[in-house]
Amino acid sequence: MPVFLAHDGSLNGDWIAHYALHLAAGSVDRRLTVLHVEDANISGEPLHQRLERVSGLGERIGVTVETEILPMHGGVFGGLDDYLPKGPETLLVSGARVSGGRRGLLSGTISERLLRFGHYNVLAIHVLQPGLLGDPRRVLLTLSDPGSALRAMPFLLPLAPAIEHLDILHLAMVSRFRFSNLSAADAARLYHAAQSVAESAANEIAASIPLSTDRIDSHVRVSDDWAKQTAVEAGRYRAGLTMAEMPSLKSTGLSFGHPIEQLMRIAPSDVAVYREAEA
Amino acid sequence: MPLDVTPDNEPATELGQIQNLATDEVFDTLGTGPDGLSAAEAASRAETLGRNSIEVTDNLWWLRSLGRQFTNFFTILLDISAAICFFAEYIQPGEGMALLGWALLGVSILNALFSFFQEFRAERAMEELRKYLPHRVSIRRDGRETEVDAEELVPGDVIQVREGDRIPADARIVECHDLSVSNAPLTGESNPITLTHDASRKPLTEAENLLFAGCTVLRGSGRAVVFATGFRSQFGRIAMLSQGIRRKPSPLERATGQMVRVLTVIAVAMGLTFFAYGVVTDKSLWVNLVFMMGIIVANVPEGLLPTFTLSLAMGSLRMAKRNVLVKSLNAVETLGSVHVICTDKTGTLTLNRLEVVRVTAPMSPDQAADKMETGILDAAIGASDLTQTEIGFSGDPLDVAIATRIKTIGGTPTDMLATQVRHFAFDAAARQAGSILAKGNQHRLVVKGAWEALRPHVAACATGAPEGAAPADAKALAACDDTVSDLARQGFRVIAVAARPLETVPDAKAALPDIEDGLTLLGFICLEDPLRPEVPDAVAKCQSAGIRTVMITGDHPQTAEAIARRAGMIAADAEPGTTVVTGDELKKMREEDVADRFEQGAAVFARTTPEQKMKIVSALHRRDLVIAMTGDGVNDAPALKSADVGVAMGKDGTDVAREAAQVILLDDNFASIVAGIEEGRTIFANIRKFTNYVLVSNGPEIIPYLLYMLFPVPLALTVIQILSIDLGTDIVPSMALGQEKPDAQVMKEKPRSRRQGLLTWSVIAHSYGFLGLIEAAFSISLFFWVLFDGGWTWGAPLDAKDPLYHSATGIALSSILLMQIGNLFGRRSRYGSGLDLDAFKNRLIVFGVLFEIVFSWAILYAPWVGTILGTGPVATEVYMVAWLGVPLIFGLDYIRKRVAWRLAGRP
Repeated sequence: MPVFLAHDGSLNGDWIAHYALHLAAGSVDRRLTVLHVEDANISGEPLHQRLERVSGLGERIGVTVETEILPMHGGVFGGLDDYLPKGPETLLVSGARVSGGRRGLLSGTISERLLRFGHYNVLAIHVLQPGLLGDPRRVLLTLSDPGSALRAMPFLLPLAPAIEHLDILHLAMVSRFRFSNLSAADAARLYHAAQSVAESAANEIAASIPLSTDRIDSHVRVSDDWAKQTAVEAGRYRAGLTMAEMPSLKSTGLSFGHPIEQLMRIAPSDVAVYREAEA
Repeated sequence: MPLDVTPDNEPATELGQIQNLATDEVFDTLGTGPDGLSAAEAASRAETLGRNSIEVTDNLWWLRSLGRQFTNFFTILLDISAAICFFAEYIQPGEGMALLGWALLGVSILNALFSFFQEFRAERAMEELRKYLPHRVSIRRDGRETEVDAEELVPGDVIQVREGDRIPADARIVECHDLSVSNAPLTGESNPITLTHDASRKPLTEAENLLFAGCTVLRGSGRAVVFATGFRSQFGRIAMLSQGIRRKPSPLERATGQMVRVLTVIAVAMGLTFFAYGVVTDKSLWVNLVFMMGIIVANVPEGLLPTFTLSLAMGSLRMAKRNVLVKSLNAVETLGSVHVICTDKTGTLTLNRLEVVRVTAPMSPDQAADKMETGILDAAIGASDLTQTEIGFSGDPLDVAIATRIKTIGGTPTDMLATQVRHFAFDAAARQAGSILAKGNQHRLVVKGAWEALRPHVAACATGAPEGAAPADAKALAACDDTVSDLARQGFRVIAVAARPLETVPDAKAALPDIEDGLTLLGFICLEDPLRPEVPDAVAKCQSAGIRTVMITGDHPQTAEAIARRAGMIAADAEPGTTVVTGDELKKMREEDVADRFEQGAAVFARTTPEQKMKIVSALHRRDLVIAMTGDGVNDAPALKSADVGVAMGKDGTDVAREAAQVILLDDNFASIVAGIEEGRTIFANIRKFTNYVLVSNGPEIIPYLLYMLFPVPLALTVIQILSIDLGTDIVPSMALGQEKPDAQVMKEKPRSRRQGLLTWSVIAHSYGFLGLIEAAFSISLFFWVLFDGGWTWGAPLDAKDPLYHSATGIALSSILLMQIGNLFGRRSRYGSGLDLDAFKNRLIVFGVLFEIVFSWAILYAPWVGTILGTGPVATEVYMVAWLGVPLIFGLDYIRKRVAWRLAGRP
């Protein structure tokens, strides 16, 4: 699967590039195409140095890096979308805002549009630990439903060589009121139901990616706060990267308070939001 | 060698992490340089990445907690009842409904406050964690050395650290001089770690070229580039977990929740059903409202939740006398439902006092001859770092133990120490320490440490003959290996001691590895941290109570297993090694595998890392087990919070661990946990007793309302009178039951299941269907007796202010109080009568009984009480008949117990 990186020319772009290089190194053709849409933020020598650096890193690890400077076509999104081949065979790596402030980290960004439109597989990454250099070693994958394991495959497969341990987390969600009044029997029922989903996902993943079963663990929690619980589990299992699927949001974008945004703000790990290309 | 180049200079397949990079690549990767960031760049990064802080300001957490208490079902029902009262006052003023409404609101607030008090605990763990971080830090900005607030650090900043500094953020060393740190807050190990600026191939948390936030510089200086700040640092993760992990509801909280739900369903169902009946039968709105409100109040045991809290509080006081300090009231009962105790070894199971128990020759595990022992001990003390103080020696416990042994056999440790000309401090990685000793013109190198560390440098082995030594050939070394294995299997910590003469004094910069070849192995010192004498009995008690004990330790597997066997945690016939899981094995196991291994009998987890404690807790939770976990270090805080009961050490633990835990062992003793469990089980049994006791009085409170709706009769018990029982006379006897002494069988029964509730079918049947009905029948009989005797006829209206009505309700209420005395004694024992001398040793029982007697009289004959409760006097003989209720309830309940005893198949 061809791997593309949308690099905005910033230091954050460099940090995202590390992930893109790992994904490219895990792909069959070991090729990365770095895309930069020309804008006023950076150009000329500084941009050239940044992109050269990515090429140099690629050369070190045997990944062929090509660079394309794209014209704006109605904006950065248009520039990228025009160029990229549509379909599930394309994997695009992009970044979230480094800092959200009141805008959020993903809300209103090019990456969010790319995720929402689903023209190709998109992985938007928020780097919180630049020291990992895109090499998380331990990854926490959150499951939203029984089918989400399969949908994560296009992203897990190329990342697999960089994964030492994969933790799969499935949360059985209940409302806050119900959580406070949950009986032990009900909690156990929810837990066991969710556990069978998590274990089945773990088996599916183990069958599809080159990771032995002793390096894949599935976990279940009953919770009323998805973002906080996921962040706690990321800390508990010392995940270098937490992966979460972008929900289907056609007309409205992510709000500031959306669980995905919350997770990106509070997680103690890098966070990657992914979405498979729509059929 | 950087990770990106293999030994054959083939390109690597991965870029690696920050610790894998060569020094010059670090600056480039983090977008900085040797002169540090510019102020503008730092500000931009601070804005984007946030401050270097682990603090989360949440000033309103207490308000949210308080608000949550008002969502309790009982509280909601009382609020609804109060609202009904105010509405009733509106449609028919002057009946006192507003006053009643305010009374119910008051009860609702009281219940909420008690629950809030139970939940409230000042979250002090974060305050303790913050003490590990510095306020100010030296950095380079714009090419100049400056000092800034530690919170202003961002990735890319170049920091300067010196001896004594606390490290402000995770950073990659780019330059260092004799730098060593203590990473105890993260690893639990206080041994110094020597750092370097070279690239490392180790995982991030083990790399020797990284500084970690919260840790301390012990020696030297260095410069480093920050790569993780705030919650993203390793220390920040611990803080985040300590804050973010919500302890699961305790078994008691769940049981209470279940009880509240069931009673709410009963109350609402009854209320709505008979309200609908009232509407269908054309009763007035006023009557229907009074009924509904009365049914709700009758069903809700208003005083029960405050009694829980008071009972738990008194239980925690009793536990404190047994050296168990309980910080969260729910932990009092949770301890009693524990299935597994995960305990540390050193200091909890053992005395944390190293003792030399044997000194052996190299090739024999037997005690060496005196002269040989003296030689070995002298060399060992020569390789130590000790200070003589007024009260003894101060230094590493191992060195202190050796000095103590020397004194015991008549030697003087300071003699050898005085000959030290150079000391090589203990190196945790190399696991050895050494010194150069000088006696006149002669110099000697002495080394002590792990046998595996010294073995490659041993050229000869002492034989015991005067000045005799055999060459360290393969056979000799194999014999030494066997000796060490044999000693380790016996549970000893084994230290090898070696020495060699030095022809010349080595260069001052020479390190120990440079000069230690050609050593003569003198022998082995065997040390032991003795088991606490009370531990085997405590473990046996746990086993008979169906509680598993599991040891989690960083120590050697064989030593840990030997201690576990001596403690009785491993059966005598268990094959060696089969019940032990090492940290390396744990790394490769999924949580499910760990749970399986536990079920197969694993009793010891050895050579574990602190983070593996969390894995063990999570694995055991998969089996729905209630877990008590001990801990004392900063890095134990998340595990202590994850467990159902976190147990911290009061004497040797850190403040962070103590704040994260719910229970503190004041004497650090494992046996105290067991004492706490016994108390906890007793408390739950007592809670069941007084819950049963209180629910019995619901019967005579509810039935009058049902009769009132179904028949043309006056209401036998008013709401104020119900409240006088639930919030008045029932409280002291309930608390008395809460203070009952432990049953002899309490530690011989299996732990109760998480799902075992307070409100079981047998309790409901007994309270509502048996004793409750009897109390109702008797009290209502007396009610009607007084009414008929006073000239009332069936169906005739009777004003609420009528003295006859007051007398009738008065005797109904008085008889309930008297019958509750019989109920009180009956609840003391499941199958026994409950009437024994011990009952009268419980002062609260005596006080409760006296109070009920006095109040039963005052209701009828004290005018001021009558005015408040709307009651009045009755003829003396009627009051005397009411007293028959005591033996009636007690006797019928005792007959039931005997039948139940027989049905249970007991002789």
